[in-house]
Amino acid sequence: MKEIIKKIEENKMLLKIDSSLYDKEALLQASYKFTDKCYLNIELVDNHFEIYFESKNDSENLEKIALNFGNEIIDQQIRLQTGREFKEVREQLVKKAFSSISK
Amino acid sequence: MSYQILPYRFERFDDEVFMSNEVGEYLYLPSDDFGKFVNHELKPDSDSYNTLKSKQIISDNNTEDVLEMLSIKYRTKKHFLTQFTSLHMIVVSLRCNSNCSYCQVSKKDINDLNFDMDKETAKNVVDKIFESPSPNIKIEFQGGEPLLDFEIIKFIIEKAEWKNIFKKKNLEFVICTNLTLMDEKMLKWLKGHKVYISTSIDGPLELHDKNRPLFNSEHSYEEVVDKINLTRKYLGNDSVSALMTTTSFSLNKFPDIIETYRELGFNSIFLRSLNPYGFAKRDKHFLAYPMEDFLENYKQGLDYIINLNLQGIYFAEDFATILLSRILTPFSTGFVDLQSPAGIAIAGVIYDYDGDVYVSDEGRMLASVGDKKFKIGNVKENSYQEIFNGDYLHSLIEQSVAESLPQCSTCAYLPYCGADPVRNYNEQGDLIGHRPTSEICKKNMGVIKYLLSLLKKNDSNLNRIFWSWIIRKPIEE
Repeated sequence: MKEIIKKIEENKMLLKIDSSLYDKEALLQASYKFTDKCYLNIELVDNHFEIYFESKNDSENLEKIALNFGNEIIDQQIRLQTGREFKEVREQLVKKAFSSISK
Repeated sequence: MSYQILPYRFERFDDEVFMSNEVGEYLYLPSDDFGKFVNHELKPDSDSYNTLKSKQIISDNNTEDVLEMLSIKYRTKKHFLTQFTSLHMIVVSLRCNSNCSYCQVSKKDINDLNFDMDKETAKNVVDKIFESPSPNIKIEFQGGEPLLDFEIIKFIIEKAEWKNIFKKKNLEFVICTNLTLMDEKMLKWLKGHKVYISTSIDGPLELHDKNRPLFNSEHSYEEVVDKINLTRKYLGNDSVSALMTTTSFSLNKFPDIIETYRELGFNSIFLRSLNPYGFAKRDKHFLAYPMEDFLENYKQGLDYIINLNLQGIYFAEDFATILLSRILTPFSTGFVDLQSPAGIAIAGVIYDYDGDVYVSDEGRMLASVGDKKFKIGNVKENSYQEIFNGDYLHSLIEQSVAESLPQCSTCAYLPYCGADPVRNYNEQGDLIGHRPTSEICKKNMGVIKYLLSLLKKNDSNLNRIFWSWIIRKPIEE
Protein backbone atom coordinates (compact mmCIF):
# COMPACT_ATOMS: atom_id res chain seq x y z
CA MET A 1 0.00 0.00 0.00
CA LYS A 2 2.88 2.36 0.83
CA GLU A 3 4.13 2.13 -2.72
CA ILE A 4 1.02 3.73 -4.15
CA ILE A 5 0.37 6.33 -1.46
CA LYS A 6 3.10 8.88 -1.01
CA LYS A 7 3.22 11.85 1.30
CA ILE A 8 4.65 14.83 -0.58
CA GLU A 9 4.34 17.63 1.93
CA GLU A 10 2.56 18.05 5.25
CA ASN A 11 -0.80 18.66 3.56
CA LYS A 12 -0.20 16.95 0.21
CA MET A 13 -0.54 13.30 -0.73
CA LEU A 14 -0.10 11.39 -3.96
CA LEU A 15 -2.10 8.30 -4.86
CA LYS A 16 -1.22 6.20 -7.90
CA ILE A 17 -3.87 4.03 -9.48
CA ASP A 18 -3.49 1.59 -12.38
CA SER A 19 -5.37 3.24 -15.25
CA SER A 20 -6.15 -0.08 -16.94
CA LEU A 21 -8.41 -1.08 -14.04
CA TYR A 22 -10.70 1.93 -13.97
CA ASP A 23 -12.63 4.12 -16.36
CA LYS A 24 -12.05 7.85 -16.35
CA GLU A 25 -15.73 8.33 -15.41
CA ALA A 26 -15.27 6.24 -12.26
CA LEU A 27 -12.19 8.25 -11.35
CA LEU A 28 -14.05 11.53 -11.76
CA GLN A 29 -17.11 10.32 -9.84
CA ALA A 30 -14.89 9.23 -6.97
CA SER A 31 -12.90 12.48 -7.06
CA TYR A 32 -16.07 14.56 -6.93
CA LYS A 33 -17.03 13.02 -3.59
CA PHE A 34 -13.82 14.28 -1.98
CA THR A 35 -13.99 17.86 -3.24
CA ASP A 36 -15.38 19.03 0.11
CA LYS A 37 -12.25 17.96 1.95
CA CYS A 38 -9.47 18.37 -0.64
CA TYR A 39 -8.24 20.10 -3.70
CA LEU A 40 -7.60 17.36 -6.25
CA ASN A 41 -5.36 17.32 -9.27
CA ILE A 42 -5.31 14.31 -11.61
CA GLU A 43 -2.69 13.41 -14.16
CA LEU A 44 -2.30 10.44 -16.46
CA VAL A 45 1.32 9.32 -16.33
CA ASP A 46 2.24 6.25 -18.39
CA ASN A 47 -0.25 3.62 -17.25
CA HIS A 48 -1.20 5.29 -13.97
CA PHE A 49 -3.57 7.93 -12.79
CA GLU A 50 -1.72 10.16 -10.35
CA ILE A 51 -4.10 11.83 -7.96
CA TYR A 52 -2.72 14.67 -5.87
CA PHE A 53 -4.68 15.51 -2.72
CA GLU A 54 -4.19 18.80 -0.94
CA SER A 55 -6.24 19.18 2.21
CA LYS A 56 -8.50 22.21 2.57
CA ASN A 57 -7.89 22.35 6.30
CA ASP A 58 -5.33 21.00 8.73
CA SER A 59 -7.66 18.63 10.55
CA GLU A 60 -8.05 16.27 7.57
CA ASN A 61 -6.21 12.95 7.71
CA LEU A 62 -4.93 12.76 4.15
CA GLU A 63 -3.70 9.20 4.34
CA LYS A 64 -7.13 8.02 5.43
CA ILE A 65 -8.71 10.07 2.66
CA ALA A 66 -6.42 8.47 0.08
CA LEU A 67 -7.27 5.00 1.41
CA ASN A 68 -10.97 5.76 1.28
CA PHE A 69 -10.51 7.06 -2.23
CA GLY A 70 -9.16 3.67 -3.22
CA ASN A 71 -12.36 2.04 -1.99
CA GLU A 72 -14.57 4.70 -3.48
CA ILE A 73 -13.18 4.28 -6.98
CA ILE A 74 -13.92 0.55 -6.79
CA ASP A 75 -17.55 1.31 -5.91
CA GLN A 76 -17.77 3.85 -8.71
CA GLN A 77 -16.36 1.36 -11.20
CA ILE A 78 -18.96 -1.20 -10.09
CA ARG A 79 -21.70 1.38 -10.60
CA LEU A 80 -20.37 2.12 -14.04
CA GLN A 81 -20.00 -1.50 -15.07
CA THR A 82 -23.34 -2.76 -13.81
CA GLY A 83 -24.92 0.47 -15.03
CA ARG A 84 -23.85 -0.37 -18.58
CA GLU A 85 -25.55 -3.72 -18.19
CA PHE A 86 -28.95 -2.27 -17.27
CA LYS A 87 -28.77 1.03 -19.17
CA GLU A 88 -31.11 -0.15 -21.89
CA VAL A 89 -33.52 -1.73 -19.40
CA ARG A 90 -33.70 1.54 -17.45
CA GLU A 91 -34.48 3.50 -20.60
CA GLN A 92 -37.22 1.04 -21.50
CA LEU A 93 -38.62 1.18 -17.97
CA VAL A 94 -38.97 4.97 -17.98
CA LYS A 95 -40.33 4.97 -21.53
CA LYS A 96 -42.90 2.34 -20.62
CA ALA A 97 -43.89 4.15 -17.42
CA PHE A 98 -44.74 7.32 -19.30
CA SER A 99 -46.04 5.72 -22.50
CA SER A 100 -49.67 6.47 -21.64
CA ILE A 101 -48.76 10.13 -21.14
CA SER A 102 -46.68 10.54 -24.27
CA LYS A 103 -49.39 9.11 -26.58
CA MET B 1 -28.40 -20.06 -14.26
CA SER B 2 -27.47 -16.63 -15.57
CA TYR B 3 -29.35 -13.54 -14.50
CA GLN B 4 -29.93 -10.05 -15.78
CA ILE B 5 -29.04 -7.17 -13.45
CA LEU B 6 -31.85 -4.60 -13.42
CA PRO B 7 -31.55 -0.91 -12.48
CA TYR B 8 -30.33 -0.48 -8.92
CA ARG B 9 -28.13 1.77 -6.80
CA PHE B 10 -26.03 0.92 -3.77
CA GLU B 11 -24.22 2.43 -0.80
CA ARG B 12 -22.10 0.80 1.88
CA PHE B 13 -24.18 0.67 5.08
CA ASP B 14 -22.43 -0.47 8.25
CA ASP B 15 -20.85 -3.80 7.26
CA GLU B 16 -23.39 -4.52 4.57
CA VAL B 17 -24.45 -3.07 1.25
CA PHE B 18 -27.70 -1.13 1.01
CA MET B 19 -29.33 -1.58 -2.39
CA SER B 20 -32.41 0.15 -3.75
CA ASN B 21 -34.18 -0.39 -7.03
CA GLU B 22 -35.54 2.32 -9.30
CA VAL B 23 -38.75 2.65 -7.26
CA GLY B 24 -37.18 2.64 -3.80
CA GLU B 25 -37.66 -0.98 -2.73
CA TYR B 26 -34.56 -1.94 -0.83
CA LEU B 27 -32.54 -4.67 0.79
CA TYR B 28 -29.22 -5.23 2.54
CA LEU B 29 -26.70 -7.66 1.14
CA PRO B 30 -23.64 -9.06 2.94
CA SER B 31 -20.51 -7.58 1.29
CA ASP B 32 -19.37 -11.02 0.07
CA ASP B 33 -22.66 -11.65 -1.66
CA PHE B 34 -22.59 -8.21 -3.20
CA GLY B 35 -19.28 -9.08 -4.83
CA LYS B 36 -20.78 -12.31 -6.15
CA PHE B 37 -23.87 -10.44 -7.37
CA VAL B 38 -21.78 -7.99 -9.39
CA ASN B 39 -19.78 -10.82 -10.97
CA HIS B 40 -22.88 -12.89 -11.77
CA GLU B 41 -21.74 -15.61 -9.39
CA LEU B 42 -24.73 -15.75 -7.04
CA LYS B 43 -26.20 -19.23 -6.67
CA PRO B 44 -29.93 -19.39 -7.57
CA ASP B 45 -30.70 -21.27 -4.36
CA SER B 46 -29.10 -18.66 -2.09
CA ASP B 47 -31.09 -16.28 0.11
CA SER B 48 -29.43 -13.25 -1.46
CA TYR B 49 -30.40 -14.40 -4.95
CA ASN B 50 -34.04 -14.78 -3.98
CA THR B 51 -34.16 -11.49 -2.13
CA LEU B 52 -32.65 -9.67 -5.08
CA LYS B 53 -35.14 -11.35 -7.36
CA SER B 54 -38.08 -10.42 -5.13
CA LYS B 55 -36.90 -6.80 -5.09
CA GLN B 56 -36.65 -6.88 -8.88
CA ILE B 57 -32.95 -6.14 -8.95
CA ILE B 58 -32.21 -9.34 -10.82
CA SER B 59 -34.33 -11.30 -13.22
CA ASP B 60 -33.62 -14.76 -14.65
CA ASN B 61 -36.39 -15.76 -17.01
CA ASN B 62 -39.15 -13.20 -17.28
CA THR B 63 -37.49 -9.82 -17.60
CA GLU B 64 -40.27 -8.44 -19.77
CA ASP B 65 -42.91 -9.11 -17.09
CA VAL B 66 -40.67 -7.71 -14.37
CA LEU B 67 -40.10 -4.60 -16.43
CA GLU B 68 -43.84 -4.19 -16.92
CA MET B 69 -44.38 -4.33 -13.16
CA LEU B 70 -41.52 -1.96 -12.42
CA SER B 71 -42.78 0.55 -14.95
CA ILE B 72 -46.21 0.60 -13.27
CA LYS B 73 -44.56 1.21 -9.90
CA TYR B 74 -42.36 3.89 -11.45
CA ARG B 75 -45.39 5.66 -12.87
CA THR B 76 -47.02 5.54 -9.44
CA LYS B 77 -43.90 7.04 -7.83
CA LYS B 78 -43.90 9.86 -10.37
CA HIS B 79 -47.64 10.41 -10.11
CA PHE B 80 -47.12 13.98 -8.96
CA LEU B 81 -46.18 14.85 -12.54
CA THR B 82 -49.74 14.20 -13.67
CA GLN B 83 -51.10 16.60 -11.02
CA PHE B 84 -49.55 19.67 -12.69
CA THR B 85 -49.99 22.08 -10.70
CA SER B 86 -52.03 21.45 -7.53
CA LEU B 87 -50.60 23.90 -4.97
CA HIS B 88 -51.09 27.58 -5.80
CA MET B 89 -49.72 30.01 -3.24
CA ILE B 90 -50.86 33.62 -3.34
CA VAL B 91 -49.06 36.44 -1.54
CA VAL B 92 -51.98 38.74 -0.83
CA SER B 93 -49.84 41.23 1.09
CA LEU B 94 -46.22 41.62 2.03
CA ARG B 95 -47.21 43.74 5.02
CA CYS B 96 -46.83 41.99 8.35
CA ASN B 97 -47.61 42.60 11.99
CA SER B 98 -45.03 40.04 13.08
CA ASN B 99 -41.39 40.83 13.59
CA CYS B 100 -39.91 37.32 13.28
CA SER B 101 -36.18 37.07 13.74
CA TYR B 102 -35.85 34.78 10.71
CA CYS B 103 -38.42 36.41 8.37
CA GLN B 104 -37.67 34.73 5.05
CA VAL B 105 -39.74 37.04 2.87
CA SER B 106 -38.33 40.40 3.98
CA LYS B 107 -41.75 41.66 5.11
CA LYS B 108 -42.89 45.24 4.60
CA ASP B 109 -44.15 47.93 6.94
CA ILE B 110 -47.63 47.28 8.27
CA ASN B 111 -48.96 50.58 6.89
CA ASP B 112 -47.44 50.39 3.40
CA LEU B 113 -50.44 49.52 1.24
CA ASN B 114 -48.28 49.44 -1.89
CA PHE B 115 -47.51 45.82 -1.08
CA ASP B 116 -51.11 44.56 -1.16
CA MET B 117 -52.50 42.62 -4.12
CA ASP B 118 -55.15 44.56 -6.07
CA LYS B 119 -58.36 43.04 -7.41
CA GLU B 120 -57.31 43.07 -11.05
CA THR B 121 -54.17 41.07 -10.20
CA ALA B 122 -56.18 38.73 -7.96
CA LYS B 123 -58.67 38.07 -10.77
CA ASN B 124 -55.83 37.27 -13.16
CA VAL B 125 -54.28 34.92 -10.60
CA VAL B 126 -57.52 32.98 -10.19
CA ASP B 127 -57.94 32.76 -13.97
CA LYS B 128 -54.42 31.31 -14.29
CA ILE B 129 -54.98 28.85 -11.45
CA PHE B 130 -58.01 27.38 -13.14
CA GLU B 131 -56.12 26.80 -16.36
CA SER B 132 -54.05 24.26 -14.44
CA PRO B 133 -54.83 20.70 -15.64
CA SER B 134 -54.65 19.27 -12.12
CA PRO B 135 -57.97 17.92 -10.79
CA ASN B 136 -56.90 19.01 -7.29
CA ILE B 137 -56.43 22.68 -6.55
CA LYS B 138 -55.22 23.97 -3.21
CA ILE B 139 -55.05 27.76 -2.91
CA GLU B 140 -52.77 28.81 -0.07
CA PHE B 141 -52.76 32.42 1.12
CA GLN B 142 -49.38 33.67 2.21
CA GLY B 143 -47.75 36.90 3.27
CA GLY B 144 -46.55 38.97 4.98
CA GLU B 145 -49.57 38.43 7.13
CA PRO B 146 -52.49 37.64 4.81
CA LEU B 147 -55.18 38.55 7.33
CA LEU B 148 -54.07 42.18 7.01
CA ASP B 149 -55.95 42.13 3.72
CA PHE B 150 -58.89 39.86 4.46
CA GLU B 151 -61.04 41.54 1.80
CA ILE B 152 -58.80 40.29 -1.02
CA ILE B 153 -58.82 36.79 0.50
CA LYS B 154 -62.64 36.84 0.40
CA PHE B 155 -62.56 38.18 -3.16
CA ILE B 156 -60.23 35.36 -4.30
CA ILE B 157 -62.16 32.61 -2.51
CA GLU B 158 -65.47 33.76 -3.98
CA LYS B 159 -63.94 34.11 -7.44
CA ALA B 160 -62.38 30.64 -7.23
CA GLU B 161 -65.60 29.05 -5.97
CA TRP B 162 -67.54 30.66 -8.82
CA LYS B 163 -65.09 29.37 -11.42
CA ASN B 164 -65.14 25.96 -9.83
CA ILE B 165 -68.87 25.60 -10.42
CA PHE B 166 -67.87 25.01 -14.03
CA LYS B 167 -64.39 23.48 -13.61
CA LYS B 168 -65.38 21.03 -10.86
CA LYS B 169 -61.95 20.63 -9.28
CA ASN B 170 -61.30 19.35 -5.76
CA LEU B 171 -60.84 22.84 -4.37
CA GLU B 172 -59.62 23.79 -0.93
CA PHE B 173 -58.10 26.83 0.73
CA VAL B 174 -55.41 27.31 3.35
CA ILE B 175 -54.54 30.57 5.08
CA CYS B 176 -50.98 30.69 6.39
CA THR B 177 -51.28 33.16 9.21
CA ASN B 178 -49.81 34.08 12.57
CA LEU B 179 -53.50 34.11 13.65
CA THR B 180 -53.12 37.17 15.89
CA LEU B 181 -55.54 39.20 13.72
CA MET B 182 -58.16 36.46 13.40
CA ASP B 183 -61.56 37.44 14.82
CA GLU B 184 -65.05 36.00 15.08
CA LYS B 185 -66.32 37.97 12.10
CA MET B 186 -63.65 36.48 9.85
CA LEU B 187 -64.23 32.99 11.24
CA LYS B 188 -67.98 33.23 10.67
CA TRP B 189 -67.29 34.03 7.02
CA LEU B 190 -64.62 31.33 6.64
CA LYS B 191 -66.92 28.71 8.18
CA GLY B 192 -69.01 28.74 5.01
CA HIS B 193 -66.01 27.89 2.83
CA LYS B 194 -63.51 25.03 2.70
CA VAL B 195 -60.73 26.83 4.53
CA TYR B 196 -57.94 25.41 6.68
CA ILE B 197 -55.54 27.39 8.82
CA SER B 198 -51.78 26.88 8.94
CA THR B 199 -50.08 28.80 11.70
CA SER B 200 -46.67 28.91 13.34
CA ILE B 201 -45.70 27.74 16.80
CA ASP B 202 -41.97 27.63 17.43
CA GLY B 203 -42.15 26.14 20.90
CA PRO B 204 -42.94 27.10 24.49
CA LEU B 205 -43.86 30.70 25.34
CA GLU B 206 -40.35 32.02 25.89
CA LEU B 207 -38.87 30.47 22.74
CA HIS B 208 -41.85 31.35 20.55
CA ASP B 209 -41.80 34.96 21.72
CA LYS B 210 -38.05 35.19 21.11
CA ASN B 211 -38.39 33.89 17.54
CA ARG B 212 -41.72 35.45 16.65
CA PRO B 213 -42.43 38.76 18.44
CA LEU B 214 -45.04 41.14 17.03
CA PHE B 215 -44.15 44.53 15.53
CA ASN B 216 -45.66 46.26 18.56
CA SER B 217 -45.09 43.68 21.27
CA GLU B 218 -42.45 41.25 22.44
CA HIS B 219 -45.16 38.69 23.11
CA SER B 220 -47.28 36.71 20.67
CA TYR B 221 -47.53 33.17 22.09
CA GLU B 222 -50.61 33.64 24.28
CA GLU B 223 -52.41 35.55 21.56
CA VAL B 224 -51.73 32.76 19.03
CA VAL B 225 -52.89 30.07 21.47
CA ASP B 226 -56.14 31.95 22.16
CA LYS B 227 -56.76 32.27 18.43
CA ILE B 228 -56.02 28.61 17.78
CA ASN B 229 -58.76 27.76 20.26
CA LEU B 230 -61.15 30.31 18.77
CA THR B 231 -60.50 29.01 15.24
CA ARG B 232 -61.09 25.42 16.30
CA LYS B 233 -64.39 26.50 17.86
CA TYR B 234 -65.64 27.83 14.53
CA LEU B 235 -63.89 25.69 11.92
CA GLY B 236 -63.43 22.42 13.78
CA ASN B 237 -60.65 20.70 15.70
CA ASP B 238 -58.78 19.57 12.60
CA SER B 239 -58.93 22.95 10.92
CA VAL B 240 -55.65 24.24 12.36
CA SER B 241 -52.17 22.91 11.73
CA ALA B 242 -48.91 24.46 12.87
CA LEU B 243 -45.33 24.63 11.68
CA MET B 244 -42.18 25.21 13.69
CA THR B 245 -38.87 26.66 12.58
CA THR B 246 -35.62 25.76 14.30
CA THR B 247 -33.34 28.67 15.11
CA SER B 248 -30.16 28.44 17.15
CA PHE B 249 -32.34 29.27 20.19
CA SER B 250 -34.37 26.08 19.60
CA LEU B 251 -31.42 23.71 19.84
CA ASN B 252 -31.50 21.34 22.82
CA LYS B 253 -35.16 22.24 23.36
CA PHE B 254 -36.88 19.79 21.00
CA PRO B 255 -38.59 17.78 23.79
CA ASP B 256 -40.05 21.02 25.19
CA ILE B 257 -41.18 22.08 21.72
CA ILE B 258 -42.82 18.69 21.16
CA GLU B 259 -44.58 18.91 24.54
CA THR B 260 -45.89 22.36 23.61
CA TYR B 261 -47.46 20.89 20.48
CA ARG B 262 -49.05 18.13 22.52
CA GLU B 263 -50.40 20.60 25.09
CA LEU B 264 -51.95 22.60 22.26
CA GLY B 265 -53.77 19.51 21.01
CA PHE B 266 -51.70 18.76 17.92
CA ASN B 267 -50.90 15.13 17.16
CA SER B 268 -47.88 15.78 14.98
CA ILE B 269 -44.99 18.17 14.49
CA PHE B 270 -42.69 18.98 11.57
CA LEU B 271 -39.20 19.45 13.00
CA ARG B 272 -37.98 21.94 10.39
CA SER B 273 -34.52 23.35 9.97
CA LEU B 274 -34.05 27.02 9.16
CA ASN B 275 -34.45 27.93 5.48
CA PRO B 276 -31.60 30.32 4.63
CA TYR B 277 -33.58 33.06 2.88
CA GLY B 278 -34.37 36.70 3.71
CA PHE B 279 -33.52 37.79 7.26
CA ALA B 280 -32.62 34.17 8.09
CA LYS B 281 -29.75 34.45 5.61
CA ARG B 282 -28.86 38.02 6.55
CA ASP B 283 -28.70 37.20 10.27
CA LYS B 284 -27.36 33.67 10.00
CA HIS B 285 -24.45 34.55 12.29
CA PHE B 286 -26.78 34.29 15.28
CA LEU B 287 -29.81 32.40 13.94
CA ALA B 288 -28.21 29.56 12.00
CA TYR B 289 -26.24 26.52 13.16
CA PRO B 290 -24.23 23.72 11.58
CA MET B 291 -26.44 21.08 9.95
CA GLU B 292 -24.75 18.46 12.13
CA ASP B 293 -26.29 20.20 15.18
CA PHE B 294 -29.73 20.13 13.62
CA LEU B 295 -29.38 16.45 12.78
CA GLU B 296 -28.33 15.64 16.32
CA ASN B 297 -31.35 17.53 17.68
CA TYR B 298 -33.64 15.98 15.07
CA LYS B 299 -32.60 12.46 16.10
CA GLN B 300 -33.14 13.28 19.78
CA GLY B 301 -36.54 14.77 18.94
CA LEU B 302 -37.51 11.75 16.86
CA ASP B 303 -36.41 9.37 19.63
CA TYR B 304 -38.47 11.40 22.11
CA ILE B 305 -41.54 11.14 19.86
CA ILE B 306 -41.01 7.41 19.34
CA ASN B 307 -40.91 6.98 23.10
CA LEU B 308 -44.22 8.82 23.45
CA ASN B 309 -45.72 6.39 20.95
CA LEU B 310 -44.23 3.42 22.80
CA GLN B 311 -46.15 4.68 25.85
CA GLY B 312 -49.36 4.52 23.83
CA ILE B 313 -49.54 8.21 22.89
CA TYR B 314 -50.14 8.72 19.17
CA PHE B 315 -47.91 11.56 17.94
CA ALA B 316 -46.08 11.79 14.60
CA GLU B 317 -43.10 13.63 13.18
CA ASP B 318 -44.10 14.91 9.76
CA PHE B 319 -40.74 14.89 7.93
CA ALA B 320 -40.13 11.31 9.01
CA THR B 321 -43.67 10.43 7.93
CA ILE B 322 -43.06 11.82 4.44
CA LEU B 323 -39.77 9.94 4.11
CA LEU B 324 -41.19 6.71 5.54
CA SER B 325 -44.05 6.89 3.03
CA ARG B 326 -41.46 7.17 0.28
CA ILE B 327 -39.38 4.33 1.71
CA LEU B 328 -42.16 1.90 2.59
CA THR B 329 -44.97 2.54 0.12
CA PRO B 330 -45.19 2.64 -3.68
CA PHE B 331 -46.84 6.05 -3.62
CA SER B 332 -45.51 9.49 -4.40
CA THR B 333 -45.82 12.22 -1.79
CA GLY B 334 -46.91 15.76 -2.44
CA PHE B 335 -43.98 17.30 -0.57
CA VAL B 336 -42.53 19.89 -2.97
CA ASP B 337 -38.97 19.75 -1.62
CA LEU B 338 -38.48 16.04 -2.30
CA GLN B 339 -39.39 15.61 -5.95
CA SER B 340 -37.41 14.67 -9.01
CA PRO B 341 -37.75 16.57 -11.22
CA ALA B 342 -38.05 19.27 -8.61
CA GLY B 343 -41.56 20.33 -7.63
CA ILE B 344 -40.91 23.83 -8.99
CA ALA B 345 -44.10 24.96 -10.74
CA ILE B 346 -44.99 21.27 -11.21
CA ALA B 347 -46.16 20.59 -7.67
CA GLY B 348 -46.47 24.17 -6.44
CA VAL B 349 -46.21 27.73 -7.69
CA ILE B 350 -46.46 31.14 -6.06
CA TYR B 351 -48.05 34.40 -7.21
CA ASP B 352 -46.57 37.50 -5.63
CA TYR B 353 -48.68 40.51 -4.61
CA ASP B 354 -47.80 42.28 -7.90
CA GLY B 355 -48.70 39.33 -10.12
CA ASP B 356 -45.18 38.05 -10.63
CA VAL B 357 -45.09 34.26 -10.74
CA TYR B 358 -42.26 32.31 -9.12
CA VAL B 359 -41.48 28.61 -9.31
CA SER B 360 -41.59 28.21 -5.54
CA ASP B 361 -41.98 30.06 -2.27
CA GLU B 362 -38.19 30.09 -1.93
CA GLY B 363 -37.98 31.60 -5.44
CA ARG B 364 -40.03 34.59 -4.34
CA MET B 365 -38.04 34.79 -1.08
CA LEU B 366 -34.98 35.38 -3.25
CA ALA B 367 -36.90 37.96 -5.26
CA SER B 368 -37.73 39.81 -2.05
CA VAL B 369 -34.02 40.57 -1.71
CA GLY B 370 -33.71 41.60 -5.35
CA ASP B 371 -32.90 38.39 -7.22
CA LYS B 372 -35.67 37.45 -9.66
CA LYS B 373 -33.88 34.41 -11.08
CA PHE B 374 -36.93 32.20 -10.53
CA LYS B 375 -39.60 34.49 -11.92
CA ILE B 376 -41.41 32.71 -14.76
CA GLY B 377 -43.85 35.44 -15.74
CA ASN B 378 -46.56 37.81 -14.61
CA VAL B 379 -50.27 37.01 -14.55
CA LYS B 380 -51.17 40.35 -16.15
CA GLU B 381 -48.56 40.22 -18.90
CA ASN B 382 -48.25 36.56 -19.83
CA SER B 383 -50.56 33.76 -20.87
CA TYR B 384 -50.78 30.48 -18.97
CA GLN B 385 -48.83 28.79 -21.76
CA GLU B 386 -46.09 31.41 -21.64
CA ILE B 387 -45.73 31.06 -17.86
CA PHE B 388 -46.07 27.31 -17.42
CA ASN B 389 -44.88 25.98 -20.75
CA GLY B 390 -42.13 28.47 -21.50
CA ASP B 391 -38.58 27.62 -22.44
CA TYR B 392 -37.27 29.11 -19.21
CA LEU B 393 -39.30 26.85 -16.92
CA HIS B 394 -38.41 23.89 -19.13
CA SER B 395 -34.71 24.65 -18.72
CA LEU B 396 -35.06 25.05 -14.94
CA ILE B 397 -36.83 21.71 -14.67
CA GLU B 398 -34.33 19.98 -16.93
CA GLN B 399 -31.61 20.97 -14.52
CA SER B 400 -33.51 19.60 -11.54
CA VAL B 401 -33.78 15.93 -12.43
CA ALA B 402 -31.94 14.24 -9.57
CA GLU B 403 -31.39 11.12 -11.68
CA SER B 404 -28.97 13.17 -13.78
CA LEU B 405 -27.30 15.32 -11.11
CA PRO B 406 -23.70 14.66 -10.00
CA GLN B 407 -23.61 12.23 -7.05
CA CYS B 408 -27.44 12.09 -6.85
CA SER B 409 -27.53 9.96 -10.02
CA THR B 410 -25.74 7.10 -8.30
CA CYS B 411 -27.05 7.67 -4.75
CA ALA B 412 -28.97 4.70 -3.35
CA TYR B 413 -31.22 7.08 -1.38
CA LEU B 414 -32.31 8.96 -4.51
CA PRO B 415 -35.79 7.33 -4.71
CA TYR B 416 -36.58 8.93 -1.33
CA CYS B 417 -35.00 12.31 -2.01
CA GLY B 418 -35.30 15.05 -4.63
CA ALA B 419 -33.71 18.05 -6.30
CA ASP B 420 -33.95 21.64 -5.12
CA PRO B 421 -32.41 24.00 -7.69
CA VAL B 422 -33.58 27.12 -5.82
CA ARG B 423 -31.80 26.03 -2.65
CA ASN B 424 -28.71 25.03 -4.66
CA TYR B 425 -28.65 28.43 -6.32
CA ASN B 426 -29.19 30.29 -3.05
CA GLU B 427 -26.56 28.38 -1.10
CA GLN B 428 -24.03 27.41 -3.74
CA GLY B 429 -24.51 29.79 -6.63
CA ASP B 430 -25.77 27.45 -9.35
CA LEU B 431 -28.80 25.30 -10.07
CA ILE B 432 -26.94 22.00 -10.09
CA GLY B 433 -25.23 22.54 -6.73
CA HIS B 434 -22.22 20.83 -5.23
CA ARG B 435 -23.33 17.76 -3.33
CA PRO B 436 -20.26 17.18 -1.15
CA THR B 437 -20.76 20.58 0.50
CA SER B 438 -24.55 20.80 0.20
CA GLU B 439 -26.34 21.42 3.51
CA ILE B 440 -29.63 20.10 2.20
CA CYS B 441 -27.96 16.89 0.98
CA LYS B 442 -26.37 16.52 4.40
CA LYS B 443 -29.72 16.94 6.10
CA ASN B 444 -31.77 14.69 3.81
CA MET B 445 -29.17 11.94 3.77
CA GLY B 446 -28.69 12.19 7.54
CA VAL B 447 -32.40 11.78 8.26
CA ILE B 448 -32.92 9.06 5.62
CA LYS B 449 -30.00 7.02 6.96
CA TYR B 450 -31.25 7.40 10.52
CA LEU B 451 -34.72 6.18 9.55
CA LEU B 452 -33.19 3.27 7.64
CA SER B 453 -31.09 2.35 10.67
CA LEU B 454 -34.30 2.28 12.76
CA LEU B 455 -36.08 0.16 10.16
CA LYS B 456 -33.10 -2.17 10.03
CA LYS B 457 -33.76 -3.13 13.66
CA ASN B 458 -36.89 -4.86 12.39
CA ASP B 459 -38.59 -4.08 15.70
CA SER B 460 -42.31 -4.81 15.44
CA ASN B 461 -43.26 -2.03 17.90
CA LEU B 462 -41.21 0.52 15.98
CA ASN B 463 -42.62 -0.63 12.65
CA ARG B 464 -46.15 -0.39 14.02
CA ILE B 465 -45.46 3.22 15.05
CA PHE B 466 -44.05 4.13 11.66
CA TRP B 467 -47.02 2.62 9.84
CA SER B 468 -49.42 4.47 12.16
CA TRP B 469 -47.74 7.70 11.04
CA ILE B 470 -48.07 6.77 7.39
CA ILE B 471 -51.80 6.00 7.71
CA ARG B 472 -52.15 8.98 10.07
CA LYS B 473 -53.96 7.20 12.87
CA PRO B 474 -53.12 4.84 15.71
CA ILE B 475 -52.99 1.15 14.83
CA GLU B 476 -55.35 -0.78 17.07
CA GLU B 477 -53.96 -3.82 18.87
